[in-house]
Amino acid sequence: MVFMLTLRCKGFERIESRSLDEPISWSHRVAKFGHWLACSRCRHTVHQLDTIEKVVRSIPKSDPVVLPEDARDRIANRLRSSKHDDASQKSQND
Amino acid sequence: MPFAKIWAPMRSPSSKENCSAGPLNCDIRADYEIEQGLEWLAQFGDQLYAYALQRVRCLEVAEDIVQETFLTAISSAETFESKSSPETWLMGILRHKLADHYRRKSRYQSLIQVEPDSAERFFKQELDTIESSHNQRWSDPDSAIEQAEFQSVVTNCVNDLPDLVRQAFEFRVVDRLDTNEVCELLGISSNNLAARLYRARAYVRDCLARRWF
Repeated sequence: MVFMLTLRCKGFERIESRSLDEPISWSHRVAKFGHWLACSRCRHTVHQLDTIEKVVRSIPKSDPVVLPEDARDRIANRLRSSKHDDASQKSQND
Repeated sequence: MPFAKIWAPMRSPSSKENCSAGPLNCDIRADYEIEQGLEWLAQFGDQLYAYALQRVRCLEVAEDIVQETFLTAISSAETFESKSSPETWLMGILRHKLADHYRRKSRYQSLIQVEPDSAERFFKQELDTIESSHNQRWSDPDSAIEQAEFQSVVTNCVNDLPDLVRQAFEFRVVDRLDTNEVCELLGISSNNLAARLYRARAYVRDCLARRWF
């Protein structure tokens, strides 16, 4: 109960950030709401955090990146060599 | 017809079963897994590389991580069940490889640096600045052009985050992974993750207050 009445801006921001990721407890929700009603700066903070989330999620992927041919060849060669090494080792063990 | 296609309808026996039947079977099994790996490389190589490059921002490291991903994939191909798509499965392996890379990097940095690294500086010093950003305001972008510019400023701000914080922020906010999944990937507690995400958001807010008007 005391926590609900003594929540300050810094604590509010922490709880607000947490609420964007996971459900928060009932007491945190009530405390957050009480502070939100009383503090215009924190109302603005909520808006800003919400905007950041939306913008970050809406950022289009940059130009399509293609795995360079030489890198593709190197990986393919590595796959070939690794598996045959494994196989010969296993057959020797068996 | 590619080898993998001939073998695809059959459930491949485990490599132990195969190899115990003789070296020839072992070789066939290896060929099958290589073909499978090459097929995945052709199909999903670009996508995995783009994802890795976006996270590590180094061509060589991204290539190494993609290579490790495919090596792990073919060595554990028998554990892959068709419940999820190969793409989802490969992305899961890639994320674990990225997490390993971040862990190795932070361990290496702590070994070679006497000076606190950027992450520590961020936690110790820059946080003071961040706390003071509470009063700073930035206006919402109005037009489409402003939207694009705003996105670019936000991207730069996210890119400026120290690795420790950025990786958590990207896994959670950009990739929209569940918090439990992010904790497992990064090997951290939920409280630690919450602290990193709080700091990341506080930093981006502060950064926008400085760079956007």
